[in-house]
Amino acid sequence: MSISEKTIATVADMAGRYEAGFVTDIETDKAPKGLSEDIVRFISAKKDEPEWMLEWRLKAYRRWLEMPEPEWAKVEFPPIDYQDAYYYAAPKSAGEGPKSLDEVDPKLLETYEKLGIPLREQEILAGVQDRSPVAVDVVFDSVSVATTFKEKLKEAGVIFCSISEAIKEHPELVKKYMGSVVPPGDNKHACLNSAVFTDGSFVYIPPGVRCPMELSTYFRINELNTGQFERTLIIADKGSYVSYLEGCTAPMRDENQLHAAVVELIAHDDAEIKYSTVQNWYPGDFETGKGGVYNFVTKRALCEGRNSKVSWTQVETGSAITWKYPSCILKGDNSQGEFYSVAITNGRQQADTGTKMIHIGKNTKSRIVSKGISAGHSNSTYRGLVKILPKAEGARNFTQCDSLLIGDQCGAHTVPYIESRNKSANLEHEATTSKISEDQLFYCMQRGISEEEALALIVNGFAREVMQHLPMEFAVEAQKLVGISLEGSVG
Amino acid sequence: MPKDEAWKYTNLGRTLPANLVLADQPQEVVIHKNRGEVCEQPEDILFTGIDGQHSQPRLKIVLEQGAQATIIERHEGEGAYWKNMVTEIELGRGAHLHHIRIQNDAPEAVHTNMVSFKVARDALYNGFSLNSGAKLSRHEIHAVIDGQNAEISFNGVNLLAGEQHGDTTILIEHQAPHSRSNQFYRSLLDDKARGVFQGKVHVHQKAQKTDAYQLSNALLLSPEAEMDTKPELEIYADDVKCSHGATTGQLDEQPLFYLRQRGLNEAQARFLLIQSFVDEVVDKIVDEKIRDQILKETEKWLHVALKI
Repeated sequence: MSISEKTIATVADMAGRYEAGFVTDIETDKAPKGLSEDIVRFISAKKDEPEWMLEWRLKAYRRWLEMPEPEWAKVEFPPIDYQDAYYYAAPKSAGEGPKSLDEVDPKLLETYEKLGIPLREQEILAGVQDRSPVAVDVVFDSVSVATTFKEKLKEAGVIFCSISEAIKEHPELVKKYMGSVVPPGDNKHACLNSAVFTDGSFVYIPPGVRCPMELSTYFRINELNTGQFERTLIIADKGSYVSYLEGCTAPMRDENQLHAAVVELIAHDDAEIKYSTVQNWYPGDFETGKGGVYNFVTKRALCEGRNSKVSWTQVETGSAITWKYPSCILKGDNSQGEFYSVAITNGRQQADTGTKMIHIGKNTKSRIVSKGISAGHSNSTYRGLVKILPKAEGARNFTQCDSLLIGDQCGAHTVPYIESRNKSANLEHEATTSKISEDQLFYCMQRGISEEEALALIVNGFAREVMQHLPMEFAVEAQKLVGISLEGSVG
Repeated sequence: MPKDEAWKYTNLGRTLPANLVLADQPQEVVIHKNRGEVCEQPEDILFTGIDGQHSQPRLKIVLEQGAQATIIERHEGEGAYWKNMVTEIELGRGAHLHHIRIQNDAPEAVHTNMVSFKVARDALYNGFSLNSGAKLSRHEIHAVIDGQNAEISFNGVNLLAGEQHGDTTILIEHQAPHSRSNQFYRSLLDDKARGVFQGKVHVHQKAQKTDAYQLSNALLLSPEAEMDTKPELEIYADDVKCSHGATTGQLDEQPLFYLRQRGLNEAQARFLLIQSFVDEVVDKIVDEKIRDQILKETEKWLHVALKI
């Protein structure tokens, strides 16, 4: 079934409708443009950090100056001018950091309401909003502006706060774990983050505690020419469980914005962490590819203890460029790592994403399910590593990578590395690439479903295996997002 | 494929024998079949390595339109040498080539082979490669399919033991519509052997209706063996059927149990299962005589490796 000119026109109209693309007009406090040791000192001073933190940052900064840009990914972009961006921007009203919700600038509350993020605890608890309670840490440009349900979590012994707060309140935990999974010198982007990170979330779940509600962080870049460098650190102590969600959006800007985050997860004996991301950064202009966020993120989990488990679920629909490989180091015996991913690219987007599963302990298991959907002029790549070290007796891996192509101007690529050094390890990998079946489309349209809707329906079906691993609230949102992201692609 | 990426797992410099002398006579074999020439009898070519020499043999196979041939390429030698070979294959319209390669170089030798392909419309290539020799071997294939409806198959068995290192790197570029490609490799790795399989299928935008399949299975027979696999797909056309699979592991317990239940001892049962694992690829050879010959070779290797 060929696509009529008319459909292409309608679709072009609809395309580029990025719903989160508005700008909040709010006064901000910014660091001078550019990057230098002074800026690092400036950020540290702004955050009122202890001396050891500043030293850590400076060490990372000096290292960063010497590190080469990672060039192995299948993405293309002009060299980044690190001096042409702001490394710190905070709404003026945020002042000394988040206090109680009543003190948060109404303009900010409005912004989040528009994005559909519930911040008003009372309303949620009173059942005004029809959702189950989720505790949210809200990061606006460089600072955390609010964290909800802190008191309720405290009762359970859970620490959930911004990382700046954790550096001051819980230095022993931060000192012990920060950089233990992703060392500052891991790669250039992680190193930059270590030097200039401004905020992010910190979670500590004490032994034996099942976190009473979903925790989440909502990142938003608002300011022009600003990079966002957040750092998340989640520690699940023995026998604990936590589910954590992350969401991101940014306004439509003609300039590229850099987002270089670091996420570190540590799971001790019998602990489980479930980490879900719905990434919807501004993808750039649909036709020309101008603007958009460079999403260069280093995410890694350490399954330190026996029987620990980490599961990454991601729905990647935004960003001009995605460079992201949430990984698991399976160190504890019987530990498990999971990676479920849906990456949708459209327009001129480029995504190079996947995972690394490093099996160190005995009987470690990993499972990778990756679904890539490319449309328009975009390119999407799955790049993954499964590595079995000699001591990983009885390790097991299953990998499945499926790609779907919509239109003949896009590309889908699969680059798995499978390295086994233990004979008792069992590794399976399979991948397929195909296009949307014409029969399926025809069937839907025959029943009165429009071409666009049919496409969204089929793609959602294709991605179902991953979507069902998302927490309920997120799954609904993600499904809608799939439909929106595919506007303008037509099969 | 960027150079450093393609050589990620193989370090040639570290393995090359010292003080090699460049062979004074370049060995060159050209096989040319004219239009419509059908050769029933397989042609046998032998490349011998000589101790202390660095040789650069060349093999060129040209089949004109409609020609058909079966070629057996054998590699043997004695002592420590480096055989750095270049193979060029050109298939005209509708030509058929069956190409069997038996690489059984000396245990101290280094064998590198760069194969380039040009395949025209309706042509068929059926290749089989048995790699069991050399301290380090690398079989690199770069095939370009620029004719419609062409079909190429690369099948192979890697039998590696001791400290052998065997690398198979394949890049297939589909540049024309309606073409097919197959890759089917199985590796047995004993002792401290290390196997590498990197296969890449690149489907260009105009190569609609491509059908590409790739499978690599490896059995690790010893705790110190290693297998590195990188099956890659790079696809720019939407109406295609491309898939790949890769497995690494040891023998399944269940078939082993089944055979033992039927009175075979463990060694016999293992032998049978491993033999059938390898034979499945060997069966892809069309010529019966050659197939039997290869089956004998693999059986011999298995007897030594499994000590039965």
